[in-house]
Amino acid sequence: MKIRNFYIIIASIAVGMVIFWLFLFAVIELDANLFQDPNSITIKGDGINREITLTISQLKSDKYDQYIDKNFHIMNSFETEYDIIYSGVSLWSILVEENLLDLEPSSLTFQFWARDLYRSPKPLNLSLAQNYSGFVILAYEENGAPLFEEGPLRSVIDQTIMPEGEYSSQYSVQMLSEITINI
Amino acid sequence: MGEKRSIKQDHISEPKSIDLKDSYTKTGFIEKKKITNLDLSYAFIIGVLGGIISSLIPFSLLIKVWYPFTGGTQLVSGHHVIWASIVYGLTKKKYNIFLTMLSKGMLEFLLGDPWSILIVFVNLMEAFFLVIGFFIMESLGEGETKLGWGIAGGFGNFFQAPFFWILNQRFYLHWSLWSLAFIFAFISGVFIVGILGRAIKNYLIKAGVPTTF
Repeated sequence: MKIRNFYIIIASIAVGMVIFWLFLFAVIELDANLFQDPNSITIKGDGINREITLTISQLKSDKYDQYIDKNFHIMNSFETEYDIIYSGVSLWSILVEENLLDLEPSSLTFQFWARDLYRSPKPLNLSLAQNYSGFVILAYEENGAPLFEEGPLRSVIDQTIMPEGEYSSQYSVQMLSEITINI
Repeated sequence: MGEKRSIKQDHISEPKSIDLKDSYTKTGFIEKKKITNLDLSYAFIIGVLGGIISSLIPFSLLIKVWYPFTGGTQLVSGHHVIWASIVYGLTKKKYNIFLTMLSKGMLEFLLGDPWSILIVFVNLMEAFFLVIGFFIMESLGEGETKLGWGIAGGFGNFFQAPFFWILNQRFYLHWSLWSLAFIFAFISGVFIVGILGRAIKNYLIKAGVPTTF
């Protein structure tokens, strides 16, 4: 074997090893669940009294407040504004109906996580979801059609209730898999 | 009279034995850099082909099955730049890389790319780094090897990844995710832009497609 080819093999193996360990590190560090059912979400964290997993059909039930074909105003980080029609379930109604909260919402935060380990930039105060329950939803339809590539669930927050300097598009987490409620 | 006209590089001097003693310089392009119709045809046809395929076919869907994490789609991002490396292989002219990526970027823009006119700039940026990659590899005597093409392709495809992560303001995500995404961008460049591009170029030449170098 030529020395040049030997170096190429060594470099390839080194890159492969780096990728393997980085991948493993990401899975462990971010507590990724590679085998989670994409048709369900988990709500967990130290701000609620128990962890709960709900399927989409459960989320669509009348037990929770449903918002059908509601117009949401979205702004992205380039400050481009646009409107999208979503149907979904109110996050606050899930927390209330499942009786998950023991503490005051103003002392808690919520954050969205995607299956691909994307997360919303910052934890937001839960009083936002309490005061504007119709503006913080878990959407399962866009323009009357089920979410496909971005779904089956995505979080949606209207820009009008976003804190100063935050953009609602960054909190519209596609492929939503987890919501953490923390103190 | 029997003395032949002497031509040295681009400067032509009339023989001294005749009355006409003017000297003049050839006008127009220097021959070796002339843009041929074939150059333009390759750059624009393959650029348009790339623009259609790259923007309308969702290559990332397959990758999401195998690698579900954010940044995984960089594993196939090389399909955006392979067109330029094929054209470069057929013409061996670096400005053709720019022409190909310009036409590709324009088409992506016209097809309604979410990045709007910025996609033209991104294409030109990829072209620039691919040119730099080929230039470095040719300087090192690796201009025609798989290694040379691979590294040049990796170099050409790499820089769009950090560019988009900055633009999307995604650096708040865990560092391991963007490190993986950047490595994937380079690897995709090596395999798709470099090695696959070189193989396609070789098959095209073997099949009788005329080259312009």
